[in-house]
Amino acid sequence: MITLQNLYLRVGTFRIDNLNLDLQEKQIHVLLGPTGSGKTLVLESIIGLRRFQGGRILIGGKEVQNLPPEKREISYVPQDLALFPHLTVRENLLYGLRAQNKARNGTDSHLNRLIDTLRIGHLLARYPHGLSGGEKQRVALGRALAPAPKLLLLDEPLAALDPALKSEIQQLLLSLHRSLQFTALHVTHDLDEAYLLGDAVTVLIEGKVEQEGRKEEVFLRPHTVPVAQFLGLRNLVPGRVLKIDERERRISVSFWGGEITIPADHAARNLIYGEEVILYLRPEEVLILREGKPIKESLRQNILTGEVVRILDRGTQHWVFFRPLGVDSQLEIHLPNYVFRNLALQEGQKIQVAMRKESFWVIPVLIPKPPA
Amino acid sequence: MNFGKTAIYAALALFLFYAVLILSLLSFFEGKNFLTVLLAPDVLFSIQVSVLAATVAMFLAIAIGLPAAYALSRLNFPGKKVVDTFLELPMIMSPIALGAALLIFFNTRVGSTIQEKGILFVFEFPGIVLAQFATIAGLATRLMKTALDEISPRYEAVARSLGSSAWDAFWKITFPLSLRGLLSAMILCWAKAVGEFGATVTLAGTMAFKTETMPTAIFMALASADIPKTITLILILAGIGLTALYAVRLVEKRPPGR
Amino acid sequence: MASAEDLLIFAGAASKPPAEKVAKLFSQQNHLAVRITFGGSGFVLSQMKLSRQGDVYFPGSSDFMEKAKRENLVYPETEKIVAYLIPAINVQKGNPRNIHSLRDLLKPGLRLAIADPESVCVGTYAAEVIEKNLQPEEKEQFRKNLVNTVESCEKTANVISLKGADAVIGWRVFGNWDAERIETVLLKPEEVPRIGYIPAAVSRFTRHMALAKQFVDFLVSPPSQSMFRRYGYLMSLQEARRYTLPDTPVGGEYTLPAAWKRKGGL
Repeated sequence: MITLQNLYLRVGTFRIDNLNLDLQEKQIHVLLGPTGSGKTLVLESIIGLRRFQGGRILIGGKEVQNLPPEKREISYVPQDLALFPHLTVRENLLYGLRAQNKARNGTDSHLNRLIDTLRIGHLLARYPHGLSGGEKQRVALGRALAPAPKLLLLDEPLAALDPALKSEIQQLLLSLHRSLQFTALHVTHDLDEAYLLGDAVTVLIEGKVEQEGRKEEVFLRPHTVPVAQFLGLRNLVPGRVLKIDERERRISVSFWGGEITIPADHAARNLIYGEEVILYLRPEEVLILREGKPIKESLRQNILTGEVVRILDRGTQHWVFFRPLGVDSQLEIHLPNYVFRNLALQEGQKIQVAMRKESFWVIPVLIPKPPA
Repeated sequence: MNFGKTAIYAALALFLFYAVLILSLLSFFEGKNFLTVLLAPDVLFSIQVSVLAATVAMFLAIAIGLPAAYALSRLNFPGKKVVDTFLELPMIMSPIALGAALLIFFNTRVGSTIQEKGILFVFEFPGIVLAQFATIAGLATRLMKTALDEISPRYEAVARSLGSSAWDAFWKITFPLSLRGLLSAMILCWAKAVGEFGATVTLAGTMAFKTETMPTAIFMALASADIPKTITLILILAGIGLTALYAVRLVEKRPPGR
Repeated sequence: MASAEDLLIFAGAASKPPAEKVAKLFSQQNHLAVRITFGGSGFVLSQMKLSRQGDVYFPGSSDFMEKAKRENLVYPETEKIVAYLIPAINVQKGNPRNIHSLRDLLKPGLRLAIADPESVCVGTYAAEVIEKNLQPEEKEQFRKNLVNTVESCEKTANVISLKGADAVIGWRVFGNWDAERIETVLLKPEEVPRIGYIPAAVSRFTRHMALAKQFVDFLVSPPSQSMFRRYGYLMSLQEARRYTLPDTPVGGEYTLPAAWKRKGGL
């Protein structure tokens, strides 16, 4: 287990206050956040290249924040890979082993296995400038993993790659992880990559940990508004808590002049009466009602009437922009193409939409809970 | 006129300017005298003194300049900007001013103690080395800082994460990668040291067979109104300089491991 | 470039303090610009020769004037003697090393300097003082104590001011240049091998013959003389002879023995 405790770091006007991070062994933990959120600062603090003003770093229970980088057994793969240009691929790979006095004469079975898995055996005598993009990525990973580090730190290593190569290396990372079971902290701002690679995800925005947990948790049930905004979620509607039914475990929330009652576990935390919230309505789960078709009882309370403002063809989906009557905002509705075709919608058309209460997710605006 | 052409003409014009200066020396030149002057014992001695002193001064400048350059390039410390500014001081201080300052220093209590208990500098060979060192040290540091700046600090970061101490990361990674730049900085500083006159003559004097360097010899020849000897010495100095500076070009062309 | 209304003087540094004042006086009186460039006598001679300009050559001693005459760079008939110079020993004010005579310079451990004998007037004179007064072993001892030569007249004085040496053989008048730091120890009359003088002559490159001649004449006129005297220079042969024997030669050229020359090795 690798832990960051109460990290306090100040650089110019930027602050990271009381940051805590727990990395489980043998997991790929993703540190996700927009550019400028402080991800690199956290990374540099863990490596030991940046002084911080408060906090501890523990690896396997041992405090390392006072150790120099070379004693922490943390391998670092920066965005530009930084393969040593004046050394051959073999010398690059051996670098960590030699520096940590782990190189044994002749063959090192762990290293050889790595070379085989990465399929770079035929490149050993070459110099980095003679390698293709994909080959460089493999060598960089090999170099980082060769000394069997306690933690592998990847700083957006795939950010600059073109889609085909990015996908290839992502798959490679996953399969390497499956076979070698290393512990990794992968820093990225790419949502797809985070979802693909991360066993656990920590979202860092403006120096604060907004949320951490399993990726499904983070992506489907964001706890705070900044996370929701960072994830690019559509249909974030402001509302207010009207009623809390403790017994039935339900809450009523007002939005857009209407009201909706939803299960209490569809909220990021326990809410209090009168609190300001943001309702997230998944675009895939808004139902467009067909004329004449009967409506299920459960939906009848949550019907909105309005107008189709715009229709966008997105290739595999169609996006319908819907404006409810008397409201200035729009709802985004994502429809699979076959559904869209059956509905035969047109811009300007008056329609009705319905939402299941389970399709809502309530995010409080204030964190933590305001005093009652 | 097209921009590229103008630029090339400017470069050629500059070359022509210096070439014409050298050529005009040749107009006074007496070929048969050249060897006589070159092989005269005092001239051979000043060539020796110039080359030896410049070499020692260069190594001293590198010895302190390289770590200083590393600090300025990679590290942050209080007063960094002040230090950086001071390095440029010798460029503004005329060489004579530098030499006079050194001479005055050895007049102070600290200075005279150094001379009594340690090494004699005033009017002695170490004075030449010191004067040359004072002239080139700032420049050496600047040039080496530039050479180091070109190497991304990420390499060292990765090396350290892989287990190298800061020292090792520097010697094994940054140093080999910046070697080209460092070498050309060294040669440039050496050449500048060889050509140094004002500070040297002020601090170390002009004694033939003791502290007379090539530039000093040129000055003294002119001061005795011996024009042919002056010209010959200038040509010798120019020859040494051009050879050294051309060597810089050759070093730049051969990168290690690429 | 000497134009319609100005004069260009190439002067040796030996006479700098008063020469500047005198030039100013002349300039005011005659309403024209007088530009003087100072330097080592040989150095400014090279400049005059190479630039082919100049109205008056005003070196620090007769040696270089002889050279200028030999190379046909001046009109010999226009030469006048402006002031007389006596070689002497200069020491730091207060005479911390207790030097009172020429032979006191031979004390082991002393650091001595002279001007470069081949290119600076006062250096040549210093060499002559040593050659004509000391025995071979004494010359050896002097050589041992001689730590360096300097490149100009004023540098020779500066060496004492900046305490770069314990003593130099310079001009008597150095003591007047920097009274706070330099003290002059006179040589015995019989030890002075030659009386130096500061000559001036019209340069062959002049374009203002009459004006140049006028300047040279002005240099030996009473107002100029009193200026020079104020700076401690000796204005007449009689004054000079007070420091020497009655038959001590004046000016001329001294041929440096090979030992003092570069080609022979110092």
